[in-house]
Amino acid sequence: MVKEEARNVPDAELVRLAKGGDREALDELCARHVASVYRMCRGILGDDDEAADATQDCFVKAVRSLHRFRGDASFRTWLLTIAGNEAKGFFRKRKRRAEQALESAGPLFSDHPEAGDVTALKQEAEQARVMVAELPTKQRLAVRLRIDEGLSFREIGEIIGSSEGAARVNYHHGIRRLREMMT
Amino acid sequence: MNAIGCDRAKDLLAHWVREELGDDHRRWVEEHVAGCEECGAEAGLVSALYAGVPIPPSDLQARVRVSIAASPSRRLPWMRLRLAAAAVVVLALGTALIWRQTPGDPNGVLSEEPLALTWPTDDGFIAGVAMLDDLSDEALAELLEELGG
Repeated sequence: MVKEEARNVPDAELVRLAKGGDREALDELCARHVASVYRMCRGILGDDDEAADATQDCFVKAVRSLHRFRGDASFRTWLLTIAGNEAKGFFRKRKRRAEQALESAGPLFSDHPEAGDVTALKQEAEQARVMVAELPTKQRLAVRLRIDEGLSFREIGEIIGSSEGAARVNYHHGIRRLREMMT
Repeated sequence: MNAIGCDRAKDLLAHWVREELGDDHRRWVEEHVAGCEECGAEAGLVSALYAGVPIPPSDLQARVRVSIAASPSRRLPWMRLRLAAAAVVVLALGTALIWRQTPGDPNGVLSEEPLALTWPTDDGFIAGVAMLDDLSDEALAELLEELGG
């Protein structure tokens, strides 16, 4: 398949071709979903570099297990589920590193410079983004997946491991909480 | 504004800011938001969140492509074929070697004492567990000492 053709092919067909070794189909799948995967990882990790690394690892794992993808969910939902797990793995590793560093570090200063940076943020968009990071994980993911990716509540439920109704509740609770935080 | 209208509007706000709604739904949301303070405030928040969507690094797609190409999994089907071929060759060579080392009548000793021929030994120390039963206590102690040393 040539690159221009691949752009008009649905995900399911690209996946079928990629399973057969079609390089262009695989490239097109990456091109279509790399930003979504990055945003998903960024939403969980809150760090640009780690999100980029997690994105790379997510795609490697997805390609490795592509033969197991049967199309029960959409390819994007399946991929974002892998991205979520990958990012959580990065998060756990970071937490372990932080715990180890804390154990070996001296007393912490209460007036750490980063604490002031957050409150100094002026733009509403940046403030909202920062506030989202304060939400519980499922609410945060529901808000990000709904607004950043435009996913349905059913798709969000598949990714965060809950029902469609619970995904909807998580989204609305998250939004309500953000409004409370921002007022 | 009634609660059902607000619930519906709030559900649609994400699609509205992403410009994914058809004309009818878009007009309905815009009219509702314009006349509802509660939904108007929420529309402002959702718009701000959408405006703050993180942008991936420009080279990320290229990095992903390199990672996939460098991943061993991409070579896995070929590696499996090579491993299978190598296993067949080793098995064939091993069988041929054993066959060549088997003396005399093919229906004789081999069928009765395969270990004695496939693992030939002069002193009884190498042939494995099956022959340890035949060792005296002294010989077994000597063997264990050798292995320990």
